[in-house]
Amino acid sequence: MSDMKNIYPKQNSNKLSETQLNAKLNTYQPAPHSDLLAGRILKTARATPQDTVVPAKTYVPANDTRFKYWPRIAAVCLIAFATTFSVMTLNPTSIPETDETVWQEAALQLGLDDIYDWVEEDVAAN
Amino acid sequence: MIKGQLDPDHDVLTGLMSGDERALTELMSRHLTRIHRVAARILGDQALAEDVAQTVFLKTWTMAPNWEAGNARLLSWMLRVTTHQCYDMIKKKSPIYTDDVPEMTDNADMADIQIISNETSVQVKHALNTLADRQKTALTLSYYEGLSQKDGADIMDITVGAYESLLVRARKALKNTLLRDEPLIETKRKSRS
Repeated sequence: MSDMKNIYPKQNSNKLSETQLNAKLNTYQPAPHSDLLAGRILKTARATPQDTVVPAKTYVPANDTRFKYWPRIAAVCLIAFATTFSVMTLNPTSIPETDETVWQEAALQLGLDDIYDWVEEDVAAN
Repeated sequence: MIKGQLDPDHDVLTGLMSGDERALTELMSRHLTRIHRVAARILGDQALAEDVAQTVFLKTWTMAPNWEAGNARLLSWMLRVTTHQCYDMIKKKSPIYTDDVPEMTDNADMADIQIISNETSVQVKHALNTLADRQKTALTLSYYEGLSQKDGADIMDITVGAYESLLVRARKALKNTLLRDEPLIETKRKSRS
């Protein structure tokens, strides 16, 4: 049990507070850059012509993530379209009985009952 | 940038736009250390951070003639390019290992506090390297560089809410990693003493 205490000291049993975390974070400072870096940049800049074509505001960094969701959105749209199309093809909407009666009465009133019967028979035959 | 607010670097921008090398030198004297520091914290590698800093300043140099004042602060734009360059670098390279950490010696002359500080620094560096890239970036911009959450979110091109979330998760993950590693450091200290 005493060994366990050595492996897991008292501090580990407590949570690290925000202040303690900040204190730890403050201990890490990266080493400064080389003294030659500025000179190296200046030398390369002299050999690099300034751009006159691409406006700075339209520059999109290579790792821009603004458009990374487009393929997913396109895939979802495609699936939704395919599903809707399949459902509508497999389950065509049938005209309710009441509609048929209404059409029949309308045809009767207009004196087109012969044509109506002919169409209905034709549909039934098919 | 708020409309009507002057870019603190507007004085060097004119020189940069006309291809004046003195303006580039002045810009480097103002921001090179900061850009390098941000890159070094995200990448955890000094040499790669220098490459990133060089790329950022060269991009600034080449893009300068087309810079339109009022869209963004120059430094914010440079920090944005820095983070993107770092991500590109991480993608290209295999995982970055932190073998470059200084060896801890048992020099008796060295004060105990210095040893503990070095150990903690190495521990923190290791913990930072275990964070996700975006969490590390948010923490670097906010904690180490003291940027406001809005500025940090603008640089990372995310909402303030998302930025805050990254910060919270980064700190939580750091605490867990540091607490998990603490026993190893303690054991090392005890075995030395």
